[in-house]
Amino acid sequence: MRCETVRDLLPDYIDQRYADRPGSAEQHAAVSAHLEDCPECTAQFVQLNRWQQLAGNWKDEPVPDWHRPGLQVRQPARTHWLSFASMATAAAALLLVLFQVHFRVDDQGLHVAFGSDQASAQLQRQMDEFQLEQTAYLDARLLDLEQQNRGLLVAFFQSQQQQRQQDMGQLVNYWQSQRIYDQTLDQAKFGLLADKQQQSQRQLRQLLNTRYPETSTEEQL
Amino acid sequence: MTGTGMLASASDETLIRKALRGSERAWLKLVRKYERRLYNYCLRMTSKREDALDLMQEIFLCVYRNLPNYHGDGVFPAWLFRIAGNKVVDFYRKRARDPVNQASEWQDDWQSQHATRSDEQAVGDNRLITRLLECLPPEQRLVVELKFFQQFTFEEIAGQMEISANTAKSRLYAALGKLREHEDLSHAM
Ligand SMILES: [Zn+2]
Repeated sequence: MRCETVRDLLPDYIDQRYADRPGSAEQHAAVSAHLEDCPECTAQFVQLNRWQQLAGNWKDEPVPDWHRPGLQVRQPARTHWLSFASMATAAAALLLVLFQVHFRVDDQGLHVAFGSDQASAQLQRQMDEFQLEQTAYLDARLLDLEQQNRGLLVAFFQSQQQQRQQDMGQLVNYWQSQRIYDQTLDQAKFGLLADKQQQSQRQLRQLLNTRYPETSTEEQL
Repeated sequence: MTGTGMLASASDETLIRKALRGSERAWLKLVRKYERRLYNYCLRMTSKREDALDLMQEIFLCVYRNLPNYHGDGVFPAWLFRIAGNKVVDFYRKRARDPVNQASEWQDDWQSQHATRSDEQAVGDNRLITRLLECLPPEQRLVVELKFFQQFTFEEIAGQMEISANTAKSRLYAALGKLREHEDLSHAM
C-alpha cells in the first residue's frame, strides 16, 4: 500500500465508527502492516490519534446566560399578516384598474365590433402586453413586501439588547413610517398605471381608426 | 404522551417546521438543543468567552433568518455548521482589521475563571487545546474543529466549506504538522 493511500485511510482507521463497514477489516490489516514499516505514516497516525484523544478530553463549558433570539419569532407571523392586508388592498386596487379597462373597452363595444381576426389578434396582443405589465408590477410589489419584512426583522433583532418596550415602540414606528412610504409609493405607481391606461386607450382608438376609418368619433363614444 | 414530551423527542425537522409556523417554543427548543455544542465550538474558534458568546449569538440569528431556506433534508447539524463556519470567517476578518483584539487574553481569562474548579486536569486540556489551535490559520483551525470535535466526515466538511474532500484532508494534515511543530517548539522553550 502506498503512503498516499494510507494517509487517505488513516482518519477512518482511527475512527471506530468505520470498523463495521464492509471490507474495512482487510483495509485495516493493510494499513496496520504499512504502519509497521513506515515511520512517516506512523508519525501522522500518532498525531491523528493524539488529536482524536485531545478532542475527547475537552470538557464542555456551560453556556453563560444569554438573550436567546427566540422571543421575536412570533413577530414575523404578525407583521406578515399586516403586510398581507396592505398587499391585498394593493391587489384589489389593481384588479379594479384592470376591471375598469375591461369596462371601458366593453362600453366602446370593441369586443363585438372587431369582426376581423387580424385586428382582434392585434388587440388581444396589446391587451396581453398590458396584463403582463401589470403582473410584473404585482410581482415586484410582492418581492418588495418580502424585503420589507426582512428589513423589519433585522431592525428588530439589532435592537434586541435594549428593553422590549422600546423595541415594540421602534417596531411600531418602523411599521408606520414604512406604511406611509408604501402608500406614497402606491399612489405614485397607480398614477403611472393610469397614465399607461390612457396610453393603451389611445392605442386602441388608433387601432379602431385604422380598422374602421369611416367610423366617426361620435359613433364610437 | 404529553405535548412537552412530544416536543422533547421531536426531530430537528419537526422543530424547524413548527418554528417556521411561528412556534416560539419549538424554536427555543432547537436553540437549547444546540447552544452548548455551538458555544464550545465558538470557544475553540475564538479563544475568548466574550467573543464566543457574541459569535454564537450571531450564528443563531443567521440561522433564524435563513431558516426558511433550510430544505429539511435531515442534515440540520451540517447546515448549522456551514453557517457557523461562514460566521467564523467573518469573525476573523473583522478581528484582522482590529489590531487591539488580536492580542490573546486567553490564558489569563481562562485561569482567572477556573482557578477554583476541582477538575483542573480537564481545564488544563481545554486550555492546551485552545492555545494550540491558536497557532493555526482560520481555515485549518476550522477543519481540525470539524473533524475531531464535530466528528464530521471529510465529505461533509468539504460540503460545508465548499472545497473538495481532498483539500479538506490536506488541510487537516497541514494543520497537524503545524500543531506538532508548535508543540515541539513550546516544549523546547
Ligand atoms: Zn507510509
